[in-house]
Amino acid sequence: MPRSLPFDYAVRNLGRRPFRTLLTALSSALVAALLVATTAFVRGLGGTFSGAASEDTAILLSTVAERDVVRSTVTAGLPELVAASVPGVKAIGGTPAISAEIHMGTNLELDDPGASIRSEPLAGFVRGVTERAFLVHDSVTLLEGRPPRTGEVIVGRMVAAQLGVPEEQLALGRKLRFEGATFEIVGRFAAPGTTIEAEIWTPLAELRGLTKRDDSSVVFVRMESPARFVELELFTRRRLDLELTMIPSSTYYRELSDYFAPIRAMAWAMSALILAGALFGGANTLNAAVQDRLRELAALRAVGYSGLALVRSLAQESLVVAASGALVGLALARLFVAGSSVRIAMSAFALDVDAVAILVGFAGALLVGVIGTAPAATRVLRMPIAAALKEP
Amino acid sequence: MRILAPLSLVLLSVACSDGGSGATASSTRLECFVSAKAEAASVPVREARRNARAGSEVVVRGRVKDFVTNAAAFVLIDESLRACSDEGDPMEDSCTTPWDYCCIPSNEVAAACALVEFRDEQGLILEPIVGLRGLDHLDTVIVRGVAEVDADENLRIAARSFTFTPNKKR
Repeated sequence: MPRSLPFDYAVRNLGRRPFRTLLTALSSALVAALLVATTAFVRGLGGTFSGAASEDTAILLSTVAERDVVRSTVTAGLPELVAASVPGVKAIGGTPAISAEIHMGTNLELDDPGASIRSEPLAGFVRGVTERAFLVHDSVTLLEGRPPRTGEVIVGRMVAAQLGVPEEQLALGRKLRFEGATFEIVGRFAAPGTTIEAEIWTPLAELRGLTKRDDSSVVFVRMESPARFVELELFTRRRLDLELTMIPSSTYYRELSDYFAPIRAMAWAMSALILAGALFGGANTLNAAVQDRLRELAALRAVGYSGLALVRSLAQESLVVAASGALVGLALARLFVAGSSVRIAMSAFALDVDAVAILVGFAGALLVGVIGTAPAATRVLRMPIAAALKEP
Repeated sequence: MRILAPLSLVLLSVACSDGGSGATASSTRLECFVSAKAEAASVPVREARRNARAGSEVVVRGRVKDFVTNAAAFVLIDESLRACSDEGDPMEDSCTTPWDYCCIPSNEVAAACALVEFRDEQGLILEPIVGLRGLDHLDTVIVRGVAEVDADENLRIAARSFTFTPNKKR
């Protein structure tokens, strides 16, 4: 049976060039951290839309809106019409789960204690809702406070990140101003993994008055099961005068998510480029290490160690460095990436360093370590022992 | 609502009676609506919307705009409206689908449409009709059935039989 080099030989070799080892480990750390950040970004961007979808909920919006909820306008009495005409609508506590809503982007002004109303307006997203919104948006949970009444709002926990202001400025009791009226913050809500978290909710009736409109943007309808969507679609086809279109919320949010697919692809492409850079750098470093130890390696071959044993030892060196660096990178990612948020248009989403992100980061760094061994391994396997022993 | 009832029930009870009634295969339930005999006369959708009375039998001609998902029903649109894929339309390439008529004001589109429903004894047949003998969007259809008109003047046709001509551009 061919002899193997002991594991501590590989480990001790790392100490012979500590600075080079340190730089290689740092490179692995960066690779791991970058992959974790990319995975968190891509998954966050994708999940933030799909998370808001519900399998049994559909959206009614106007045909002319081309699936844009902000451009859509539907008649104010649509919820009652749907409740009366469409069988299969889910009732929760005897109330049909139908929510008329206004979706709009607007300029916000936050109050500033010690000064007057903040002068610089911020672009925010406001949703006018009734209490029925909680029947169709399952993901929404009030973290503190209560649902809004006239002159009040509740804010999602990502609103501060989306507006780029400190959390304290959106604390309960603070005031904000939009559409010419001042609102008091009376609640804070979460809707994990959805864009809803970056929204401000206020009573629908008041928002209608402020924006001088007598309609809604869309109506969310929760059915008893997805199989009952046909009833809702038939309603939109039978009531051609209402110019409505029905789209399952899962389809709507999937299409939104697909819209950002090029951004996700670009993120992966940039990661791949940096990964390739790290790979070539690592391969070069290990190749240089082999060059420095050519006589030693040839001697080991001469005393009976096979080329494969030497390659295995080199791979161990590379993997130890890559794994150590990856652990540092994961710690960095945990420190700087986890919990941070990304603003996108009038929304924001949180970066979550979950098991998948950690796995991708760690596996990526190890892969770079293993593949980076290839040039050095080839060199060792092809090394003419006699000539190598004469190397200076 | 001026939705009729007795006459349409009578007519519905005889729908498909020429062939295949009682058959249980899903496709046969819809196949029996396809008529081999061409209608001698028919009216465009807009005219039908203007003149049809609830409960009356109508023969309406139009093009298939949208199919209802998982149900035997489609929206018929007046032939005089040009679909976005029709020759010479400047908006030909800008619409999501050629049959969405996006280049025409939506109220004009809505006023030129009628819903055609295929029903059996249990009511609307819950299986898609798209693809039946190749039936597809923008095919020209002549449908015979019973008119149902609601208070908002939306026209629904409970189909008894239909013929269709495939869209030339397909």
